[in-house]
Parts: sequence; structure tokens; C-alpha cells
Amino acid sequence: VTLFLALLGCPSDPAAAPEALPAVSDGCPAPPDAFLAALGSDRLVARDDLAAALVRIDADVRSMRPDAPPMLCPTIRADFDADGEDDVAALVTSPDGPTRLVVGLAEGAAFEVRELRSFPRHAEGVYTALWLKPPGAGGPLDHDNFAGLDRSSPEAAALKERAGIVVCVPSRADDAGLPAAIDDSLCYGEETWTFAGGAWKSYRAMD
Amino acid sequence: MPALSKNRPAAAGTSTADVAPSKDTGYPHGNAAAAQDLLPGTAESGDSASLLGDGAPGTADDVGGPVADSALDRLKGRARGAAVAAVPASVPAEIRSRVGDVAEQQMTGLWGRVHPATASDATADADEVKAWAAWNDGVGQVAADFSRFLREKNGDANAAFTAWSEAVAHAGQVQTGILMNPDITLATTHVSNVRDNANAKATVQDAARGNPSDRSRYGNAPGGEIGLDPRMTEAMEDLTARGYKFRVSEITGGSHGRNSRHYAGIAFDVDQINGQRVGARHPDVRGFMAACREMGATEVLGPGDDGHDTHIHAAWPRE
Repeated sequence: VTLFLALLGCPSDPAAAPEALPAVSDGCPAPPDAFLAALGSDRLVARDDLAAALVRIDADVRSMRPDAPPMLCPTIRADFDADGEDDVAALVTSPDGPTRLVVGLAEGAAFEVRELRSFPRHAEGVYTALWLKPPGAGGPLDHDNFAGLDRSSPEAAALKERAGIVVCVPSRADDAGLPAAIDDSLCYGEETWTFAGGAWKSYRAMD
Repeated sequence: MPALSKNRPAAAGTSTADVAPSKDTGYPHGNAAAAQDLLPGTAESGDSASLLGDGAPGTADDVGGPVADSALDRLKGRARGAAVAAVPASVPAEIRSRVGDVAEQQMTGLWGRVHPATASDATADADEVKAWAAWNDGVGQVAADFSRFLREKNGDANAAFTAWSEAVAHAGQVQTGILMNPDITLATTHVSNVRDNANAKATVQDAARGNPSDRSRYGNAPGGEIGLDPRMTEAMEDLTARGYKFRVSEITGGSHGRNSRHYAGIAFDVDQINGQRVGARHPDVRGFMAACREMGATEVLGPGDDGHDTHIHAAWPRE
């Protein structure tokens, strides 16, 4: 049984099972079964996977901005491609594997799942977080120092109009992509992904 | 870090009993507007004499070298009197005296900034008015609020004195070390051009009065207010002691990342050093960043780092 569970990527000792992330009632959306099935051997990131610094960051943010979107959910849901169907984005991982940002665009009852980017594994745990940029929110445009896009351009308007996916990026990373420090600088920057013109594009805004 | 709360003139929570009237001027401490009215160039001639009281300009001892000393002595006495008058009579005399000592020290620091070493007799009077105005507009507001610290410490006079003197010292350091420092320019707008009371200059003015500073409330900025961390404000002053002249573009204001240290009062941005915009070819950028690290900043980014082509970000660790 242990071997069977291990092959599935499940812990064999129930006591060592990762603590569940905030429940749907805490603001986290339930991932659809069809999306979970499409993940293969990957599983959703669990709270015990997270670097402790991320949990502190979430607490700090919530103390200042109780209305801020939750950032410890493994999944978010929105109509990213504006086709009228609810899509899914998630942080997933696998034993000894990286953390991957995946998105599932709904096609009827099924999901077309693809990876947007990955974060190399770190001994202290998962060091990125995921949250939703709702339609109408500026995302990177809301950062005063963001210079990656002319704010009056059609591209900026499209970016603002669509729902997007935001992940934390550290202030500095080494050649392997690992953060220089596991502390509150983990969310120094934010990378926002939006879908437009049939393709995903990312925008990075730093502090 | 001392506990801070807003205590602007006429603000709610400041009882009139906490504001000590100045016997020789009639102006309450903390009344910056009244003091500003007497700044050189804004007052009718003769007003400064009425403000200065005994030992006013024109008296026999106000000649040559002794001018500065006597003017400073008058100002120290006035600062001591105002601060001690704000201490409830129930506080032991020894602590009242120490309150006076701290007030004198702060006035000495102010005078050092206001009064140029080479001042002529003609400027001494104006310098005295300016120093008194600066006192009223800054550290004097904290100095005249001993009762608040006494309340916060549940009547423990020693604990109140410790907290009060820390707050006075921090306000004084911010006022003389940053606000009045000719080598530091403070932006009055945000990069976003949004106008609010959280621009760099307003932020420092708040801190110089012993108040927490506003955060912006737009974009990702959470609003509310936060005290400036002394580690950061002292580093700003120390940077000028190392020969840097610079412009601070943001401190607690502006919209940054959701977890930015700016919102915690422990980060500032610089967009000009020694009269030149920050950029990859600026000859002083690397040295400035290294100096920030030497002074305890743990998050220092600039040209070459993602998103920092035109500014340096220096932040201290959360406590």
C-alpha cells in the first residue's frame, strides 16, 4: 500500500500529510476534478510545502490590507481567456520536483493544461505564491516603478481589462533561479500573466 | 522604536492642557503656523523682537562672537521651559529636570543647523527666530506632549521619560538630520503623479513632529500610517556625512508591491545622487549602495537589478 501511495505521490504516513491550504470557505476556490485529473503525477502545493516566510508575508499583507486577495491558495479561478468559461491556475509540485505554475483553460468539461513557468526546488520549501488579478485591476500598472509598458497603450488597456495570474518573484535570484534569501524579499516583485491574442504574456513589476 | 500616534496641532486627542503656552510669545508649542508667521521675510520688522523676549536683538551682549552663545542660551532656556511646563506637577522634580536637559540638547542641535558658523551679526536675529520656529514646528510638538507618554505608561514617570526622550530624540534627528539637511532633497510628488500627504517631504515632516507618517492609498498602497524606523533615518543622515547629496523619491508613500517594506517605514528610494539622476553609468551608485549595506540595509537594489534602472531602493529588515 505504501509503495502504491508513493507512486501516486501521496505520503504514506497520514500524520505526515501536508496540512491543507485554506479551504474554499476561506476564499480559496475548489479545483475541478477534471483539472486535478489532468495534472498527472503533480499535486497541488500544500501549506506544509510553503517556506515559513511566505506565511509571514501573507499575515503582514492581511494586517495592512484585509481586502487583499488571498495568496496562500493553491488554485485561483477566473475566465482568463474571456471565452465565457471559468478557467483554473494552480501551483503544483511533485516529490523532489520544482514548483510549477500551471493553467487550465476550460474547454467544456475538460481543461487544456499547460505550464507557464517553474520555480526550482529549494530546501526551505515553496517560495512563491499565487493570487488573482481581477478584471479591471491594474496589476503591474499599479506599481509606481513599473516601466515595462506605456500606461496609455492598447496593450496596457487589455492587460487591465483581463483577469490575470500573479506570482511572487524574489528581489534577487541566482543563476539557477533560486532566491538569494528566504525572507520577506520573496515577494519583492510580482509577475503577472495574462492571456491575449491566443498567447500568454508576463509582466514583471518590482518594488 | 517609540510608540507613535498622530498629534498634529488641533488634532483630536490633544488636550489643551497638554499644550504649554510660551510665556514670552503667547504661542502654544506645536503651533507651527504662529511660528511660521515670524520667519524672516514674513513678519513685520519688530515682530522678532517681541518673540525673542529678554535678550532680544539690539541688547548689549548681542555683539560679535557672543551673539551665538547668548541667542542659543535664550533658546535653550525657552525650550527647557516649554518642555518642563508640559510635565504634570505630579512627576518627580528629578525627571522634570531631565526633561529640561533633553529639551536643551535638542535645541542645541537645531541651532547648529540653523545658525551658520560664519553668521554675521545681521543674521543672528533671523537665525534665532528661525530656530524657534523650527522648534515649534518639529521636536517641540513632541516635547510638549509628555502627558501622552505618561498615560501610555500608566503613570510610570520613569518609563514615560524613557519613551518621551526616545521620541524627542528621534524627532530631533529627523528634523535636523533630514528635514533641515541641505544635502537631502525630499520629493513632494510621487512617481505616479498622484498627490497626497504621503510624499517624501510630508513623510519626513510628520516624523519630525513625532508623528507616524502617512502611507498612500491607491494602487497596492494600503493607506494608514507608520512610524519611520530610526535605523533608516539615521542612515540617511550618515550618507550625507559620507559626502553624498541625494534626492529621496519615496519613503512610506507610493504604490509598490503588496508586501513592500516601504509600507513598514523601513525603506526609501533615491533617484538622484550628487546632482545626477541614478542610472547605470552614474559614478556614485555602487558606492552609495555599498554604504547603505554597511549601515544595515539588507535589501539594496539599483541599476542592474530588475526594475531599478532609475532608482536605488534601500530597505532595513523587519524587526
